[in-house]
Amino acid sequence: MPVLLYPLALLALAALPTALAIYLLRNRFKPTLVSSIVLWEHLTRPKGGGIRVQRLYLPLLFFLEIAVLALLALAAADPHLPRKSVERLLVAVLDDSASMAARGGKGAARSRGLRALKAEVKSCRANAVRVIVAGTKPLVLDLPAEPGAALGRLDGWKCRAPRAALDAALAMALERAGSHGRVVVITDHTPAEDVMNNRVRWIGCGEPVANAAIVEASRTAAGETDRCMAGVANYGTGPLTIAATLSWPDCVTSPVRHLEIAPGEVKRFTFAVPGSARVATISLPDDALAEDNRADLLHPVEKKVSVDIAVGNQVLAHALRSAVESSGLSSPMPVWPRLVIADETGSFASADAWIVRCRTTAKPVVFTGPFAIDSDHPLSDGLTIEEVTWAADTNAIPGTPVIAAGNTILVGERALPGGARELFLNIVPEKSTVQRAPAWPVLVWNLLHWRAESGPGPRATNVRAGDDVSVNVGRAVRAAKVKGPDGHSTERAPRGGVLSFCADEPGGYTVNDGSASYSLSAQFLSPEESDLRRCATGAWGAPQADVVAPRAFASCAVWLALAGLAVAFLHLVLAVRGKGGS
Amino acid sequence: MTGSSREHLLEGERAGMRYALAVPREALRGASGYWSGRLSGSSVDFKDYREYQPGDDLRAIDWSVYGRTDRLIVKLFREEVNPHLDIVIDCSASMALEGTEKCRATVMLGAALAMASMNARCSHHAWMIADAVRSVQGGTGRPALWAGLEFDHTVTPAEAFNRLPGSWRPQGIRVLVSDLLWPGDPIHTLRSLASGAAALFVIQVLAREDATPSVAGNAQIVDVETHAAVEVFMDALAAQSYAAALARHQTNWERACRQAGARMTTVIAEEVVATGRFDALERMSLLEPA
Repeated sequence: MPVLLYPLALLALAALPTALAIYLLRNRFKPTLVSSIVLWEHLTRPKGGGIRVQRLYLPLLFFLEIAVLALLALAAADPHLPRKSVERLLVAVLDDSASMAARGGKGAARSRGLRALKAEVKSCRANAVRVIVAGTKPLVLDLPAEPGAALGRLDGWKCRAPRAALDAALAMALERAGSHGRVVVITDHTPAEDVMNNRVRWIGCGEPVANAAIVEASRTAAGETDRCMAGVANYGTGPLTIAATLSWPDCVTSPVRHLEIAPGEVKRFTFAVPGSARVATISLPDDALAEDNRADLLHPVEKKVSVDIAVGNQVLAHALRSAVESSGLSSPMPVWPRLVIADETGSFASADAWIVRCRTTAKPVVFTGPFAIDSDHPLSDGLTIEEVTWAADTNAIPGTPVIAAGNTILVGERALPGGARELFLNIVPEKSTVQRAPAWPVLVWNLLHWRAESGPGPRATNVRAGDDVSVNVGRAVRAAKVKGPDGHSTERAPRGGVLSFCADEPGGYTVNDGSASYSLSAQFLSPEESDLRRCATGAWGAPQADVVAPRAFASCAVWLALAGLAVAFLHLVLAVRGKGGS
Repeated sequence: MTGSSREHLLEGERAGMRYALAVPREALRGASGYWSGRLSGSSVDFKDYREYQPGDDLRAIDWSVYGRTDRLIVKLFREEVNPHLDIVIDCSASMALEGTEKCRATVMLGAALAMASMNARCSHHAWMIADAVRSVQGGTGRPALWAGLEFDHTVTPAEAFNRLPGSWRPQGIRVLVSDLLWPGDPIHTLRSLASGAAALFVIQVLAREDATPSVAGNAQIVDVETHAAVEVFMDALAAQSYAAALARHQTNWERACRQAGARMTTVIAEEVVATGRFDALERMSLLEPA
């Protein structure tokens, strides 16, 4: 049944009776009395003539005019006709978390899920499929819409992600499906009650099996020897005795830790690794899930800062020097220091050095609090200033306030062209006690750590899979290559000298910015995925009958208008040639 | 007879006062009258002598000639006759076509002919073609006294002649006043009318609407007598076709008139009414100035 977009345009059909009336009036015969019809009978009579007016004389041109009017009126109403080919869409949400690759007695959940998906496509007679992979983030796979072709090319469904963003993927699927498409979720566990509706079919293909997993792993530099810590969890129904093997390059005999772990317990242990070992590996015997049986820990990043303290006030200089030395983040000062702490009016030749300008000479006002701290600023991480006095000059200092007392800025900072920072420290130490309070070393440590973090390289070499990773590559770098665990390289653009990406799969990553190469290691470390005891098999949601085809319509106004113009042209030709009646 | 028809008769009388009937020689027969007849009669005008034949009036023997020659000679005198005019008026409804002057002109013609006849000291008799040929009341007297002249009949003259032809005066002059617009061969009608007549004149009275119709476009043509109708589209071509049909019709009548020894003329009613003159009748030697 056609749908009219502008039904009021049908009012133009009122022109039809108008045209008919014109013809009727034109063809009406006026009675005329004559002496005799003897002289008239031979005259040409109208076709189909008769006493009554017109049933008789509606020429072809009249019908053409009626056709033109009707076609143009219908075209103006913009009728839409149902389309023959209608897409019956099924949107599949595939759980891409590593637990889908767990091997149980019935095989991997991924294989069973793929079979279930094919059966679902067949049962609901879908003729188009969209696939959304739910890893750490939902991702729409670029596949053909035809179901057979799409389901044969599911290489992007790797099942290695440390978690599955099923809620986000389901929301995206419902949006993609529109009001008529259906959604099927292929996963390994039961659905939450609030995600189900009549358009969602939830198919669980999981199998509850016991699994041991490395759920914690870290490596800390401690001089020439690094300290490693690992936690192994028993996600089984009974006690587990397992051997954790430690290894690193040049390791002659790999140490083994025998662990007895109660069900649901996490057993932690530490071990030392030579600082020269680039990578230390912790491994467990094969079990249901392979991803969580191995953790590769790289040598942690040691970023230190060369600090030049050139403050005229000796009390302040002493306090600063003590805090810097005790922070463990300072390094011997090269020719050009990376952080300069000096008096307010000093000048410096280094372009990339950060500068801390100290105002110490003016007449101070002593503040006892409260002190306002910008808690989001890197300098205020863990900083609490209480029960101290802070003497400072009340004249304004430039920069954004980080610590203030009333209207007086005590610590401020601003960015300099080229990426460097300029900080302002407003303190008269002779009348202050803050440099003797616990907040002082925290403030100085934050300062050095902030400066160290801004140096090139990753902020951490060992990360948890699924976390966002930031690597400082320098402001001049326009593009950097990221090589993932699968060996595939992608080029990414840094922003503000920082390259950020998500380490969504466990394994090693390499970032190359053209001048330097940095390595990272992403550990699986996902207790939720490693715990396979909650996996389940089943189907939830109403069985999907035929996917309802949306009522698709196509406008035929253009064709009607063209037909009307064609008939009008025919009318013109006939009228010019004098055919079609008159 | 309506008041307006009476006025038309008076109009015709006035118009006819200027004319006299041009009596043809063939019409010099009839009752004793003003005109000298072709036969011997009882007038005082001597005509000829001849031998007596049994049965001749003994009073016509010229006894003086018998005395001198001993022969019975009879004196012949010229006959005095009174010619007669029969005026036959078509009273069908078409002669009173609405919106035209046909009725007025026809009545005027009849009255004028009667007055011209009186001016020529001829007798006259007015007839009307109604359901049959009937005498007009008072039709032998002054036209102003005529009665019963109604133009509402639907019988064609041909049929009326068949039903009851008029009792025409032998050797009289007969004049048919009609529009002649009826189907059929006119020769039968004309022969019936011309039979025993000294002369027959046919005057076709047409309205200007009959001669050149003003109808344009689609029209339903209705016969005023039969009410038969045809639907036509009147344009220049159709007007030409109509004029040709009228010409053929008139030609047909003229040919029939020649065959019957009649003379025919056509007058336009509106022109007759407007001028009050009958030049066409003069040209056909029916009338002459009084």
